[in-house]
Amino acid sequence: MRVVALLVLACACQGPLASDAEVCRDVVRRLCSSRCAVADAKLGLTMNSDCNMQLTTAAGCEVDSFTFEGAGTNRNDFLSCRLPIIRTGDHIDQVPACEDVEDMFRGCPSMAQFYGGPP
Amino acid sequence: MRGPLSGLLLAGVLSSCAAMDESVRVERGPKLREFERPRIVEGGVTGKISIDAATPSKLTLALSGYDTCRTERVEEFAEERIRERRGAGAGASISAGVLFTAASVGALVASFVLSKEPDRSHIDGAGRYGPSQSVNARAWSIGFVCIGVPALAVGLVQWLRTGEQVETVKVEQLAGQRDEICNVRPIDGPLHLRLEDGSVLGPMPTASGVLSVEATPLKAPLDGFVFYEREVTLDEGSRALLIAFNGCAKLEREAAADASAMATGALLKRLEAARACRQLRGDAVQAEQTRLEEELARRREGGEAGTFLPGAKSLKSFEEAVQAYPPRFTLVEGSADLAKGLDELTGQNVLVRGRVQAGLSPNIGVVAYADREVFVFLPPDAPWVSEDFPLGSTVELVGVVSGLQTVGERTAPLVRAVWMRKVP
Repeated sequence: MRVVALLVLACACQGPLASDAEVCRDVVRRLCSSRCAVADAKLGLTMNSDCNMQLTTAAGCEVDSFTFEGAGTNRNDFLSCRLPIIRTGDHIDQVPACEDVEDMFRGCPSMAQFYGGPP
Repeated sequence: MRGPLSGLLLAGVLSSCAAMDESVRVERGPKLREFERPRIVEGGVTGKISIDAATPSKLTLALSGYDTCRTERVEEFAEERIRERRGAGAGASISAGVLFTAASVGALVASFVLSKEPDRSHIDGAGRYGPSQSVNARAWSIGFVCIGVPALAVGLVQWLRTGEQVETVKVEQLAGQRDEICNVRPIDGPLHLRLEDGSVLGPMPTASGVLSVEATPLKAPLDGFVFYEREVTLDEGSRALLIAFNGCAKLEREAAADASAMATGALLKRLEAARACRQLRGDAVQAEQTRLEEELARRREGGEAGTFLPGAKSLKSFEEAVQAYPPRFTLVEGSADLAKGLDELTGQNVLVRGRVQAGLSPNIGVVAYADREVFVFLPPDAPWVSEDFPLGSTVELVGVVSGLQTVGERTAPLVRAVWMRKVP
């Protein structure tokens, strides 16, 4: 009973779960706003690439019905991999540091493949 | 059930936090009554000394125990104890409490008006949007209520407890007391005798509360009695009898054949003892007292001891002394006169030959011969006294035996020397 009360208090300052598509697109926004060399190399982006379009399409999250299960991954694993690039803040317009981006790919190499990077 | 219990617990915690300034003022009221209260407290031991005139060297002490019956005069007063409690921060606490509680209510009301749409501009690590404005308002409401309600409670508790409490009690004050000896009864037990030289004799058992003390074994004046480490109180008459008893004991213990041979200090002490003893023995010590008083008067008129025997001052040599005081007895080793008793010797001219054994005072020395010794009184102004008589030297003297004399711990016949000289 006490644990429940603590959980209620802890959740009181949180909103509802964001959809898988929104989470997926949030990572795309962050990667594309930072345009770090490491990310470009890992994801096969060029100067002329439409970063948002390319990554969203590659991941398949351009539609709201997107789910991680459907894309062959797990939401919790994805969220864990996303943690390094929200160190500077969880606002959707926050630009992550390139070290954090590099950190994310180092910890989760599968993220590059998820967003259509070369094998 | 948990709600009220939690509320009570919270109230208890909050009450304990509500520090109060407390002061107690006492106001004395009118006197209600005055009465006497009897009490029995620890008493003591008294002794009554009696001495039978027929046996003045025997002292009898009757021992009595007693209690102290104390009568206390008590005055009873009414007394008001006024306990004042004041919560110093009650006003500030109530103000803050009201302010924060009102803010909490305001935030709670606002939460129903504000948007419930989540903040989609944030997606946290757990994949959740940020809280809506409504949720934020409620969070602030909770924060405010957490500050406001305790402050309000503390303030209210302090305010409610502020006031004064008057307690009226009866108090007693001891106005005076009177002690009387009561429950006097004879007691038995081990009794110690304390002497003036600091030594203690005993314990001596009493029989039916009575103890008899003989003067003979006492080496010093009796100073008092101790019963189970408590001083035995003597009344005035007993103290006087004890002084008389000590005086007689001193006269018996210390022989003084020739008052002129005594130092003035010793003479005064002996005279004091004789005067004290007269209370018991009356005329029996009259002669001794008179003798001592005459010697003292003579010294006051003529100076310190050192009177010469008749004609002795004009003598020029030992031979003249022998002619003037022809010896009747000769006290030298091997003499037949050694067998003579003191009574025979007293008042007689003697010739003594022996070795100087000790000097007891500037005017009294000890000369030993055979297995005996005599005290020799040396007149300080005699022409031959300037001669040195070292210890161990052989001397001969002609003089008059005065009787038995005590000097300090030693007692021996006293010879008043007419002339003394060293023998090669």
